[in-house]
Amino acid sequence: MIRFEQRTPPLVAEIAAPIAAAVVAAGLTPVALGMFGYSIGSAFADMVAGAFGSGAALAQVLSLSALLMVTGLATLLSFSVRLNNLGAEGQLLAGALTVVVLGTVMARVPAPLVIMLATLAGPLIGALMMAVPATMKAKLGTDEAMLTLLLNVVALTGIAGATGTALTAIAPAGVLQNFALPAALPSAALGVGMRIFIGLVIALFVCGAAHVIYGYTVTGFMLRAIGGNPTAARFAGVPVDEFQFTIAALSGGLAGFAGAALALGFVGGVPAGVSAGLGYAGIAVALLAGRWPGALVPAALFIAALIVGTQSLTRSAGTPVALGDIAIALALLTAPTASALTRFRIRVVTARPDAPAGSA
Amino acid sequence: MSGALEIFATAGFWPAALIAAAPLLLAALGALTCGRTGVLNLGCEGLFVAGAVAAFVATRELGLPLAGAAAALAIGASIGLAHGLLVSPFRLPQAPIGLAVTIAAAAVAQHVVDRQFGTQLPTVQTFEPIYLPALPDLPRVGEAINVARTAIDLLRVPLAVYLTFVLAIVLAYMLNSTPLGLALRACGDNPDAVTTQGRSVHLLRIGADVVGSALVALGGAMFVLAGSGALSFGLMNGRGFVALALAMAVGWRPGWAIVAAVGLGIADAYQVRLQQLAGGASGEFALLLPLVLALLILAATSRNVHWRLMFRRIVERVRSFRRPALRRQATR
Repeated sequence: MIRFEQRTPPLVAEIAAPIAAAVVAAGLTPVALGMFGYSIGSAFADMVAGAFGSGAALAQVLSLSALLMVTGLATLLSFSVRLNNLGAEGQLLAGALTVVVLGTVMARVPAPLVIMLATLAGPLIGALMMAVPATMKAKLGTDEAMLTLLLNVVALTGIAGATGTALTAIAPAGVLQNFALPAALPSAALGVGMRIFIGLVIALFVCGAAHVIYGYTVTGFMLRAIGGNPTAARFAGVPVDEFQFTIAALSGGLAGFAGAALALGFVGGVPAGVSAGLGYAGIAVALLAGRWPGALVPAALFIAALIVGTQSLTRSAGTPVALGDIAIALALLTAPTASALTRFRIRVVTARPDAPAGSA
Repeated sequence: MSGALEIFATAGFWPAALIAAAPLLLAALGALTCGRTGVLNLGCEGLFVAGAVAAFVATRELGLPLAGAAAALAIGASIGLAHGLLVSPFRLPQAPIGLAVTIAAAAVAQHVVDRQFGTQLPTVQTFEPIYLPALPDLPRVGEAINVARTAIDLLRVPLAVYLTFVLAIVLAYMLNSTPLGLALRACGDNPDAVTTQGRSVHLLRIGADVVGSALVALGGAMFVLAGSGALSFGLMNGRGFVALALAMAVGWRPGWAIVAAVGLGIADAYQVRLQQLAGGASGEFALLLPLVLALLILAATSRNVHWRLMFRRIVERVRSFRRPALRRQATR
């Protein structure tokens, strides 16, 4: 008989597990391709080449990883205080939508002002979309995972609806093609390299700050206490509810900020029919990173490379678009598997040690 | 506003409501079968889509709606087996695994449809509504039969839709009044008790996950086969999560799931007709209606919201407000 025994994972295992999970996820992605009936052959090498082979690809990986760091941090923070924020996707989409709506409605207002307002409004909407479920969880006992999941679909449907009718009605004729921002708005004056650089700097700063606060301050210690055992933390005098509310707002705000950044800097609008699933990918990033915000950086880089690699495979070899989603799903599977393997010792029990003697 | 109320009496309203309710009810039954044993199946969304696509493709290939339903059941059961194994004996966290199932299943389903049909989706054969045979004109009972016939005609829906409601009642009986149901409920409420009885919690949970996932997939199949026979990813978006939210909101109880699903079905059918009345604007935003309703239901049935207590308090306040007036009348 096989028994699972819980143990505190050794540091080596804690570091090795997500790396192994990442390798397995990346290795299984071409295998999934084989199940679709495509030749696996050089798929893996092509993926690697597609992600790192050219400057343009590398730029894409870096820009995507900046977004993933922020959505990953949003998810990780909420997980760390035992709030299941599965709604980074919806918060991101809502943030992006807010920016586009603002940009469209205030077409006559000077661009810098609109950009400032938009960078405030995007995170605000995102924060609301998580703070309200968190408050409902605290006050009413509602399941916040379900609420945020439903809000994801609400945001997605809202975007589809806005692309369809509502916004095109307000927008001046010809301005809104496929739901893009008016041309004056995005910081188009900056070069692509500069935009990626700014995005990365912001993302790295946020992750680094979170890492320091989480690991080396009293506040961080309280957060870790809540994550370990909320009841014990409450008895120790940690204001659990206040912390959870603040983290919820922060988490949603970060995801909303990623959405605003996506709309302002990267795409210049909300692409209709978004299936990139940056929010869900953020969950994979957070799971790979484990407990430490600093680990989000390599995790986000890996997931971004995985996504860009599969995308380039789709362009070059005509493989299904679904491959990107499958890669994320694989990472969502392997990351908790690996961490579970570190937390449990698997012991094969041949004879029951506690069985009374004589009972055959 | 008379038109808004007359919608309830229009021909085909109630069948449309029931047809809209059936897929949700099936999916909710599946979700609550898992949920009752303590498995929160976030794969519902993907299972729903996968079931719909499996049913669509199989019906298209074989020309038989029943084959489509069988295909959905098979797909759902196999995904459920994998999910159950990962979540129960391997003890992986439910949220990421469920999301992985949802993402992967939806992506593969989309890919299959794209490869098989391209952008021009055909419609497939659907379950036929029941038509009552023409009854003979009997001299005395003729009038009564006519009334009954009109009543039944108002609810002319496919047999499968009726069977869905029967299934809900059977499931309610199974969960509440059989030893197996007791064991399943105990798996969710007190797993240690099940272990003490010498039963395997893992086995029960995997079994419930297989059956439940198959039911959710069947809900997806019903969405295609009991409706128009068309497949629309836009229309399906979020249905699985809505069903899961309903199941959670009714406390994993099949009886109340019927009420919630029918309520949502009525809202859905009403919304479609109201739009036709208003001239068909904002079609995409109408898709928000089930989502918003599910959110409201979820909020209203939260753990710490006690409607009965609130109602009693209101009644008491009203009574205490009126008591002096009553006393004065008595003394007079």
